[in-house]
Amino acid sequence: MSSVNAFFYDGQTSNRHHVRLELSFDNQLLVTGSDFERMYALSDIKVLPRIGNIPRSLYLSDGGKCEITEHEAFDQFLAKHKIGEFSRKLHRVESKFYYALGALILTIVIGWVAINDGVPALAKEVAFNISPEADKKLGEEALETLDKYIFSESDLPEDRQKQLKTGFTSMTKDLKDGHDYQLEFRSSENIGPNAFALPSGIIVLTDDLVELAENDEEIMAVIAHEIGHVVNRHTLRHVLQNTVTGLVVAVSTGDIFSASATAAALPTIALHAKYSRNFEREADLYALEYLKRKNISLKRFSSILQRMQDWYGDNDKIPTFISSHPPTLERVQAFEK
Amino acid sequence: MTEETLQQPTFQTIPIQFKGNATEYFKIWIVNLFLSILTLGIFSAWAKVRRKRYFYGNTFLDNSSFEYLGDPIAILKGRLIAFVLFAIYAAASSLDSWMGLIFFLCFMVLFIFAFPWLIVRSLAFNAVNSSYRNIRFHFHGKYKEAFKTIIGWGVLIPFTLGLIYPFYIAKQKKFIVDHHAYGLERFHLKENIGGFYKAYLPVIILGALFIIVPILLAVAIPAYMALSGKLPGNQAVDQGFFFLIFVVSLVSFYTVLIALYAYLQARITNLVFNNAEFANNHFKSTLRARTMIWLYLSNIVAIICSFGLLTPWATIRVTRYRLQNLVLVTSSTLDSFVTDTQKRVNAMGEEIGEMFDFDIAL
Repeated sequence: MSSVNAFFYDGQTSNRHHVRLELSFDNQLLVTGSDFERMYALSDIKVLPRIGNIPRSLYLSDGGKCEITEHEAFDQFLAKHKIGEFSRKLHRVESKFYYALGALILTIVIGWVAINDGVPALAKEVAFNISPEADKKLGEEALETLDKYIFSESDLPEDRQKQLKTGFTSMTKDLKDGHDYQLEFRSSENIGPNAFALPSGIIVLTDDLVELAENDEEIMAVIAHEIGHVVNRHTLRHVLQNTVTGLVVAVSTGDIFSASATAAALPTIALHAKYSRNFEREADLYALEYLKRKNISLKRFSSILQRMQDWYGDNDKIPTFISSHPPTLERVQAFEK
Repeated sequence: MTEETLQQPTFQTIPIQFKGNATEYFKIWIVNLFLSILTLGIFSAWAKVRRKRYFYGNTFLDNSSFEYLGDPIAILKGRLIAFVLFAIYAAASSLDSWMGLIFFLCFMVLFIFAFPWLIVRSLAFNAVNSSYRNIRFHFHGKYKEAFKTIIGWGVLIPFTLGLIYPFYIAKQKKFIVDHHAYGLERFHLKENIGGFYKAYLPVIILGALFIIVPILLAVAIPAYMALSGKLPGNQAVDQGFFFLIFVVSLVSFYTVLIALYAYLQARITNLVFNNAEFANNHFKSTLRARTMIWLYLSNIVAIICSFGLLTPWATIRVTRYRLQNLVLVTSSTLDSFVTDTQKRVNAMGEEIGEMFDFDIAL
């Protein structure tokens, strides 16, 4: 470098001076202005990393600062004296288009894999290392709340309930996973034939479901599906997954003003539904394995599913990516294989 | 070449130039994002510094650029502490029993007392790490006054049904501006509480109309359907219709929210800059509400459609418009400001503020 033009500010006042920067024969930096000249050893100067094309900052040990816009000349000077290797490489990565494109693709791929597979895998690991006591806390007041607002006492005859409960006990007596399995019946005007499981192990069937079934094996199939949710700690995993995803989105989009942070989070709503669908598939698999073990025809599960869908009307019209249940058709086909 | 020095007290308008562009910034932004993900967030402290340096360094006043000097290590420490606090908060708010509730309440009380401190530290850190022509800015506000302004006046908001809100914001802006300094020279915000009320009036009227109505719709329609015996889900048509109404209400709610926010940004920014002065200088801010509204809404659409990839473009766009509409009016030179000696402030306050997403910029 022969010489580089720069602005000089002494740090005492906001006065601006035009200066030339040169290297003396004994490797000292010469700063020459119209009415002054200063000299600095190379160890007395600090060059800040280059970012885009903003003016370069060179700080001097006496508090002065040089502002340089002649990038090429200055870059040559830095390279010659090996100042700021890493930041030059970083700048090169940032300025070459293909590197940026590569970074973009890699970011998308890593991000996609992380959220799609990494988070659920991590949540599963963590969940199974948490004692089942946590599951109980997750659903503690749920049944009371539901009984208050949605459910009323079951209208099924006592011995029918007892009969199904006996079958239930034989299904769960060998499950030693720390959950307290119980079968409950409820009636509801608005819900129709349905079943769900609380994370603690309480499984609820509606009267409509029991009446819709054509034989007890169909009911057992549905119960097996619900047990699948409990055994696989789905509620806990769901909570963990959503928390982590929320954190990831918040941390990686922290760059933008808050209004559009919500916008970038919209795709995660679709993801949430997808996570739920994976859980349903896992529970279906559990039911499938149960039926196989007991030599019960797999058609028992698919027919009750089909009949439930017919009861509710045609649900396949909701686009798959926002529905939390895989389309019934898909599930039925999986069982008929 | 000589400096432009003025002998008589005539006014000179100095525009602000923004030289950043979206293509250049996109590459910086994507590499920052990639490295942040790769390092599980550790690099994000460096990413933030680089981002701010890019925007500051591309902002020119009278051919000299601004500079951001924040130390990434300090920011990283702040972020780690903020992360720990967030984890505690998340754990506390998910506890079911009454113990969880007490823990949560204690946390909220603590937060109310900590918040003004966070604001003051954050403003101080940001100011002292901003420089122009090698003279740093400073923020001299103290905790006691911050608490009075933010919490003291803030507590009155629910009691006055929100009527005191524009006054509250005016007091906040005055607190922020009056305690900033460039070198030894303090800034000063002229009182203009009426201006703030004028700015907020359309917000209150339109907000009530366009936010309450969709909410009422979203509540009333299912209520009507339930009462009249028609439950959603029995027929595909009903379900589709209900879903459509819900989506339309949601979209209009957010659109109006963003539009009002953009409108306020324009009005409040103008109000603050047009009444701010220091030494022989003042500002002129000419942001137009309709332009800001268009910018914000089109940015949101672009960001959603591009899954976030157009974010850097959006940021540059807004920054450029804001800086294009701000000028400095001076009756002397920019040469005569003198430095102030000040202790460096560590980053913790600022980073915790960021984690909980508080916008405390002007």
